[in-house]
Amino acid sequence: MTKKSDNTITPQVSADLELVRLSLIDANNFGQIIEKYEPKLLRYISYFTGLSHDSAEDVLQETFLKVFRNLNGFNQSLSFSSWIYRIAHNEAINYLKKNSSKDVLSLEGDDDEAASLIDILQSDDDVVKTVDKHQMAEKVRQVLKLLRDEYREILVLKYLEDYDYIEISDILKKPLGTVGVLLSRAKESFKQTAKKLQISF
Amino acid sequence: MSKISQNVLDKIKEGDLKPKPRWVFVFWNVMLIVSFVLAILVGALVTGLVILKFSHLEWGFIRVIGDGVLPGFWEVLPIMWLGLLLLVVLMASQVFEMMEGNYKYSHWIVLGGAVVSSLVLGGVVYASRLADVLENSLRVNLNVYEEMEAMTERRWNLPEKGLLPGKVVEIRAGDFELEDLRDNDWVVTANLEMIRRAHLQPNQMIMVIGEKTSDGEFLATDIKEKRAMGGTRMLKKIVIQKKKIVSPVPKVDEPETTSEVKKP
Repeated sequence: MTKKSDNTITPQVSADLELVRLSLIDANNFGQIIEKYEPKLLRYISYFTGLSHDSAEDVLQETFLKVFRNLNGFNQSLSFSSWIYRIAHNEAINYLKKNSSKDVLSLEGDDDEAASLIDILQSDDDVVKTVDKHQMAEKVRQVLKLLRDEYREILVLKYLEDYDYIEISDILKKPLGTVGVLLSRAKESFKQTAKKLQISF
Repeated sequence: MSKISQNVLDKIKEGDLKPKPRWVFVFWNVMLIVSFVLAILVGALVTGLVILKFSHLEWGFIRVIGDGVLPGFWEVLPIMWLGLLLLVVLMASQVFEMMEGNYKYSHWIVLGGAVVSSLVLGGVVYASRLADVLENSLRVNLNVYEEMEAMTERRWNLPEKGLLPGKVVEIRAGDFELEDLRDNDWVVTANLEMIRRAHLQPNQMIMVIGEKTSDGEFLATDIKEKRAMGGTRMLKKIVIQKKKIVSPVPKVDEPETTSEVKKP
């Protein structure tokens, strides 16, 4: 993933800017932005909110409509990627507030993705265990379900979406220090929850 | 083309949706900047007023008004202004954080910055006497404010504790008549030197410090004048006297009534 975290213009950034420019000229070009970000955003929304696939798609549609309406407000001091994730974050939060009791956490997702999260969380231990990926992914989802929304979200952004601290700060609109503290607490909470559930990875 | 992509593009076409024009975002940013600047300016003015009120307090006098230092301090706190200051500071920090890119600063740094800016600018407002002008203007133009200040003033009407603020009615050789802030009439005994020094005139607002000798009678040990600006300022410029009671001047047989005691 090529991202702009230090205000340098990477090919992806210039491509995004070009897509924004083209979408402002002709709405049909907006389809390219959707195609590019749909899989990543759908995964992010699903993991962060724990919504069912259909509900996550609803949130995603609203996200893209909002992105389109606000294209002129895109601040180029951010990467387009961070900006679009920020809108998805806000839409997801709004959806959760409006439908707090309707949806149950399902955390549907790819086994490889969930398993990769635990690989990274475990990297401190310096022990790599060979386990069945499907089982491990299931365990990760089980633990994620029990975490606070903000912990689950930051783990997803950092370890699944592979964002750095600056980008996470841009997406969540939180200071860098707060992001660091939040991430550290999220990791600790993940480990404690796994321990309580007597889940070992 | 994916299902979501198709749905979104269909919705855009069906609803004839267009991106919001750029000026909407520019306008919003300008509004945030203006709100922030206004909040800081109001914060500075209010801080100036708070400093003004504190600067005219005689801190040694506080324990008299409240039967103790802390209760007294609570009595003289300009609660309304401090409340408004808190509101404005919170508003300034909130608006600052809403401005693009400012989420990178922690809440405490932003809040601290707003407090420090208010204090510094408030100090400037006070030092430039803008706070005096503002207070006078509020007093003249806002009846509610005037009434509230009058209520605050009445708290200082404590003849039993040696404080007697009020309006001079009539001046004689060894005493004068005074109407206090609760419309009670008093005969205040004071020596000539004290009366001369205070340049007493009928209708003048003063604060007499001394001791209540009986109902309607007060023995003065000091008299403080009202200053030119700020109606209540004289009440807050009182220097509490140590319990040194000055003997009244001997009464003459026929006390002469005069509008002003002539200087020697």
